[in-house]
Amino acid sequence: MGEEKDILDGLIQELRRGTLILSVLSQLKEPKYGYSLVQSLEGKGVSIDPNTLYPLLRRLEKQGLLVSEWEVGEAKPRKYYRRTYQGDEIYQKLKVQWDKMSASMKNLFAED
Amino acid sequence: MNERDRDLMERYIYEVIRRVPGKHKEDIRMELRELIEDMYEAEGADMENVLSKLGDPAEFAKKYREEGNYVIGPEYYDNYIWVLKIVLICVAASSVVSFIVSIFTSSSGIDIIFDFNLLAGVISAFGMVTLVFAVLERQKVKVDLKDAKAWSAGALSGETITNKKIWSPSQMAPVPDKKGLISRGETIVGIVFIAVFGAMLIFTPQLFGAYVTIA
Repeated sequence: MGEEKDILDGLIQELRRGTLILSVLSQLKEPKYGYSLVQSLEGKGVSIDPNTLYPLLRRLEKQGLLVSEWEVGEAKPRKYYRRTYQGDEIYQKLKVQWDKMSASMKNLFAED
Repeated sequence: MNERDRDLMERYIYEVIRRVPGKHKEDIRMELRELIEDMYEAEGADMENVLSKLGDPAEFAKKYREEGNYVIGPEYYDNYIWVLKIVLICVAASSVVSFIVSIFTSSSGIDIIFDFNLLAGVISAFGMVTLVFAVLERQKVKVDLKDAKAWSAGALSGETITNKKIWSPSQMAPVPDKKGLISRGETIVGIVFIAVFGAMLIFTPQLFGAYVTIA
């Protein structure tokens, strides 16, 4: 029984992994710092571990989809991320892709 | 934040930082400090709770490293194993042959030396091949030893291919005739023999020498 749960957990993780990038991109039209991003995602029902989010942000920045900036004016320094122009474009394309995929999944499930 | 909690936080950050590559250490340190302080405020000032939520620092660091975390990545792996096999067979075969030769040419006990030589040879060959591929991996040098992309069936049938990178079915080579096929086994045996012969020529030249004794 435990093994079945492990398999299920693993598969759910795989499913989630692809959607996380899309979720993160969707929230970064306006600049946000790490933890505010965690909270705004959580508020919308998407839970993400910080130890997944932070490396992911870094990777998306490396790919040119996000830019970051240290804001040092406030009480403590904070790193703000937002989408770049390229990030906007990719996000729009990914969204279209997502809609296509979820429509075809619906079709597949309709057969049940 | 009290002294103890701050200390715990710094310890945690240190545990992550020491496991990530140098270039980003400082930035990750600041980033983690920001994150942990934010969580600390949100979680009702319970540092232990915050840190256990973040989980094992080694795991955290691993996620930071996930990109480019290979000595020899999947792109190079096939070629690496292929070259490694040939090199190791060459080295082992040379050692075995030179051992056999030395049995016939020498009278003293040499078995211990043989064992050591074989082992050292194999290990250093392994190390050298790995080193070369690790450098290739780091520098992202593109090598393709096994599938020569430059030629394709299109080239054979006289078609000019404008863009070699785009794969198309017409690029596939016809299934070769058995006789026309160069067997991998034969090739490897050939290479091994050349290596063995070369090694003998260098290390045991007296076997090939012609002696003229002038009385």
